[in-house]
Amino acid sequence: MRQDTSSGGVVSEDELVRLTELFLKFEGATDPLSNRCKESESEFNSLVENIYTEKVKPAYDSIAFSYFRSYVRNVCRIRISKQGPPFPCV
Amino acid sequence: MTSTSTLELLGSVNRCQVAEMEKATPETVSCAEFFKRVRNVQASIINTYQVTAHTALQTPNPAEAAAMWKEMSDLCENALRALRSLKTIFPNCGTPELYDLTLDYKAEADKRYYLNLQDSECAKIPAPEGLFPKMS
Repeated sequence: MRQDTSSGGVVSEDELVRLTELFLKFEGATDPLSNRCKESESEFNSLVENIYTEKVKPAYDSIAFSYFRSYVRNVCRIRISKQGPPFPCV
Repeated sequence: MTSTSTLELLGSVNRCQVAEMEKATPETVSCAEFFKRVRNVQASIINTYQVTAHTALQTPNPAEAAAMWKEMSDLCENALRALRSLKTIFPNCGTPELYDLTLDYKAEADKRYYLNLQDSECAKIPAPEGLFPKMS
C-alpha cells in the first residue's frame, strides 16, 4: 500500500509500518505462548502507548486510549488483509 | 471452500475428538489408549489455534475475526469441561498437561476475542481526520 506523502498523519507512516509488523507477529502467531509472540505484543503495546501519550492525546484530547488502540489495530488489520499471499510462517 | 466453512468443518472434527476423549472410562479404555485421545485433542487445540490466527487476519472486518476467536474459545471450553472430571478419573494419562495447555490457549483466544470485539465497535466510528496518513 502506498502512502500519499502530502497528507501525513499524527501517526507517521514509519510508525504504522512497524506497528503492522508487530501486530502480524503476535495476532498471527502460530504459538501464542512463545517468547516471540509475547515480546511482539509487548512492543506493540508500548509503542501504541508512547504514540498516544506523546502525540495523540495532546492533539485529540477526546480520543480515549482504548479507542486509539482499536483504531491502530484496525488500520493494521486492513493493511495485512490487503497484503498479497497468506502468511503461514510469520 | 471458504475460510468460514473450513473453520466450521474443523469445528465438527474437533467436537468429535473431545467427545471420543470424554466417553472413555477406566473400565473400557486403557491409559495408553486414553493417552492417544488426549493427544488428539491437544493436536486439535494447537492446530485450530494456528488456523484461526491465520484466517482471522485475512479479513479486514474485526467482527468476523472476533467470531472466529469465539469459536476457538468455545473449543477450549468444551475440552476443559470434559477434562475437569477426566483429570481425576485418568490422573496420570496426560490430562493435567492438556488441561493446563487448554487453559493457556483459552486465555489467549479470549483476549483476542474481546480485543477484536472492541475493535469492531470502534470501527463504526471513523477515525478523526489527520490521525493516520491518508492511503492512496
